[in-house]
Amino acid sequence: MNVRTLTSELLGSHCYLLIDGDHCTVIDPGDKGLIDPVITEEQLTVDQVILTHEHCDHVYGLSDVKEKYHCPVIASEKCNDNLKDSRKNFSQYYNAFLGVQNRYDTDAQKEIEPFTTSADEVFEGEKTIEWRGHHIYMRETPGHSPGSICIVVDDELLFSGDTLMGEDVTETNFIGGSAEDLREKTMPWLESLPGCLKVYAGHGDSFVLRNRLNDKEI
Amino acid sequence: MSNEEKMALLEDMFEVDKGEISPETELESIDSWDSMMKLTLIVLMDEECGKTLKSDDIKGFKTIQDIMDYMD
Repeated sequence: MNVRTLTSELLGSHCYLLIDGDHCTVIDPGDKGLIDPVITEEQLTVDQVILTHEHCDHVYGLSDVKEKYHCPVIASEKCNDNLKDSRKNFSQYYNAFLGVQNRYDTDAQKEIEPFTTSADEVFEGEKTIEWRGHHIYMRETPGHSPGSICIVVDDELLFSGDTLMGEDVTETNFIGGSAEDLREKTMPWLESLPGCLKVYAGHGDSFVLRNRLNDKEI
Repeated sequence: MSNEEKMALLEDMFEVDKGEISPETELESIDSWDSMMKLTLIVLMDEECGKTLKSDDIKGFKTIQDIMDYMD
């Protein structure tokens, strides 16, 4: 299985394609038209989409992907609830936020209109699926947002969304974020995982879990 | 909304005790007045006042009084 990283113009968020043969799983389609060139060029079938959380920079391209590829979308129930509200998916405030923020790459700033969208298969707590012989485990990891999850693939890869970042401290001041949830519910689970997992975060470079947990403040 | 109600909302937003900020307080003197607090203000204006705050509006705010005036 190969992992392809595509970077959105919305705050530089990452969309990941898990590619196995001529099939793929999409994680966080954060921009319109982001995956289409790869899907077309490599003649891939999109089997499913998984969302790490509800924020617009990770789901802005979701409606287009659903319409074009007719694939199921998996998310936590809280994520799905918040996708349906332009305030809670942050798209209502995104443009104004662009004007006042100074933490992100200024080349990755594209204005959007408020929108709503939804998932098809929702879960609470945790969910496991088998996909083309791969074991995909999803678990709620609140802190950055109420609907945040992390995804472990084949006990080797961790897709952490914005729950765990390589360079930045996890942001818990966004709408619905909770430092207490991050500390009490999510960190103990992250710390229980094998340290050798390779982490693909929602922004920035990939890293090894052990190094991140040991080196810096979360 | 009365001035007392506005101030209570802003004290809650800035997470400061009553009386710790006043209308004359300059925003740049408040440590927590960063981009995330500005986002929180955008949300507060939307939810409490039904107003869509733009980044240019925020850049024009110098004091707590400026924010309170916008809340009318």
